[in-house]
Amino acid sequence: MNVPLRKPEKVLSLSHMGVMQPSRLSFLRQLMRDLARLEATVTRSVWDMSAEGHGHAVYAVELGGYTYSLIAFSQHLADEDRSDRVIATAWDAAFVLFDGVPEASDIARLKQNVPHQEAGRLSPKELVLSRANKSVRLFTHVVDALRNGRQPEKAQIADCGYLMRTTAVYGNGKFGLADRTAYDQRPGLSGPFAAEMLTVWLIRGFTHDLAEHLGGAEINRDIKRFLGVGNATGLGMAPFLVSHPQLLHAWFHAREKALSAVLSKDAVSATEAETLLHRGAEASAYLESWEVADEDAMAEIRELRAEWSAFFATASKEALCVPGGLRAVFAGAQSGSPALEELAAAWILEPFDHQVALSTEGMATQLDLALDGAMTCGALKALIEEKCAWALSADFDKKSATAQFWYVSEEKLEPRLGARHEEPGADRESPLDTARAMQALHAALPATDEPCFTFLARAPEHRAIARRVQHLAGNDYGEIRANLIGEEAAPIHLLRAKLSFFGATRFDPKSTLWTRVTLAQGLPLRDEIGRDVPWLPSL
Amino acid sequence: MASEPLSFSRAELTALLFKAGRGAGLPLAHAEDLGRAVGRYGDEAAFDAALRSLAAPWSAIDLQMDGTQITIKNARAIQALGHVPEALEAGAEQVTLCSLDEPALIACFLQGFDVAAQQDGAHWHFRKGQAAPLVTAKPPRADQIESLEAYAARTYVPASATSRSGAGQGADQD
Repeated sequence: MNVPLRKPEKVLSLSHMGVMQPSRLSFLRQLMRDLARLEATVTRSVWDMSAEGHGHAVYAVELGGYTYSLIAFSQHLADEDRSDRVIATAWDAAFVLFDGVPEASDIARLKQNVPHQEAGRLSPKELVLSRANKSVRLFTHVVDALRNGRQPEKAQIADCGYLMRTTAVYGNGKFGLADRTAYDQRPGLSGPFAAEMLTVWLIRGFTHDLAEHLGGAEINRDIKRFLGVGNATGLGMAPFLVSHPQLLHAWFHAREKALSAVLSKDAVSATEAETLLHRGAEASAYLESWEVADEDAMAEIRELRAEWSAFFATASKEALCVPGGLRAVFAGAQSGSPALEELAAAWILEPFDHQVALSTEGMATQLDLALDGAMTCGALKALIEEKCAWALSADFDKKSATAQFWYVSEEKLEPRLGARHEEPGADRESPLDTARAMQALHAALPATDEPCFTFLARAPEHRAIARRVQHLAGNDYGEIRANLIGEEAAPIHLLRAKLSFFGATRFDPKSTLWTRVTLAQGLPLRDEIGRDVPWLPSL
Repeated sequence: MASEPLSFSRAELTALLFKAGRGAGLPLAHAEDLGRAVGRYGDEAAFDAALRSLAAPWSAIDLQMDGTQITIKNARAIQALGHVPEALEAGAEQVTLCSLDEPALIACFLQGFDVAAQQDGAHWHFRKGQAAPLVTAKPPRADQIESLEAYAARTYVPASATSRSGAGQGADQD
């Protein structure tokens, strides 16, 4: 039986994107599989750190015939200077992933630049730039406990889950870093954001080492494994999904293709069913331990706990193993909330490495959008009607449909979101108004046999959106099904979707504009590559 | 006075050219094309040509179609060159760009396409064929980057209390 892919109108709606969960396709988990497959090794080659924990460290990674080095700089930071805001100028620690083994001259150069982040300058020898601040409360607790000959309290570890949180992880040529094309064919770094994920995973090990250095003792492995890296993500991440329709399609299509392949299986083996039950129990424990301060978000988590509990009770080994059993169980999730469906969609992939592996190829596509100039204006108009119903149904005469505008701030050159009818600056808005542009193209196009390239030569303001519409013809998952300048469009949904693909857990939204998450929680430590990776970790 | 060449990544240059194109008022697709072409493949001479192009006034392209022959009059390279591969793919046998203002941009814009260019005085004819190899000389200079950044800055919105609150990422300590 061939189960059709879920429709893009569903999975690319904000209501589904905003409740996504990490899955076996997530980039951190892809990286873990690659590290194991390529028998990567990590060694701490330099630890030049003062008694106060200030100095630098180097971690060398042997991966696929190449050596990479995470260089970490740790410095004193006054409490009043510690900020997760993108406008911060100093951090507890700064990091760079170096291509090769750094010479003393490289360390000296990087020491002058890396701690300054955006104000510094990198070179093609560096692949990724990042920085992190301590979670002061937990970091202090862990160090104090170790100094007093104790292990940290598990309750406190579970409550926070990280010793430091990154506030930016830059790659692909930013600030002079190497272009992604310089390394995207290398083993282990060809996956989407693979170099960035490798950096985050290595940073996590550094945070453990720094706490142990200051505490004078080792943290137990089960605790250490649960200590991931926090991340504070603002809306600067959101426009990426709009400006990269090829990647958006590749990621979502890969997931839906894997899900379809799994659901198309006529039978589930006993071993696969046992894995599903094990991972499902993992999800139950995770949901019970997932606590956030925001009341609305917490209410949604409680609702999901109840839904998952009722749903998972239907997923007995017998129910899963009968012919068509997996489809029947998943159909139960589809009758629930979007949050339940997305959780179940991620869960179902867990035992099926073969289907996942077949789907993940091509998730890092970088193809350019191209215009099919021979397509007639009439055909292009019909294509908009077929593929872009959500755009045509928006009423842009209403103020609410254009309530927001995206722009780049002069101060930090970062994306921001403004209120169009209340703030100045809309005349400089960033082109994230895809629904409005699609509707404008549809209105302007004549329903004729004229090739569209001649029309677009006369009306070049429509040419960019015409390319996007044509891209949708064979790439159904290439557009978010929402008017992103409407009053209902909240960036937090886009952040949730993208961070889920990264492999983030414990979403902790602080507003509609930013969220805290945890990365690399539960993953193997650097000397445990190949160890089983949990889907949703809990302590 | 010309300044020293700088080391910028191609991703940075692509993003900068795109933003500069938008800041100069180019339609979005032309700004995208400019970024991809000159940002990825351009050398010092191409950056000079791009800057001259951005400074000039622009208007919609005057495209004439006569059977399989396409002519664009008074062709501005940063607008017209993006149309050449798609017109040839759409069935045109030849595209002629009359009085092409910046021939130095041809090689960048046609990278990755099977399009051959032939010069005829101030006019250029394009047909399907083997593109000339790209020859990049010096990387862009600091003063070129500064000029492009000035165009890009036209797309930025000055800071205000409201804009800062719209940045996300809170500052709470934990």
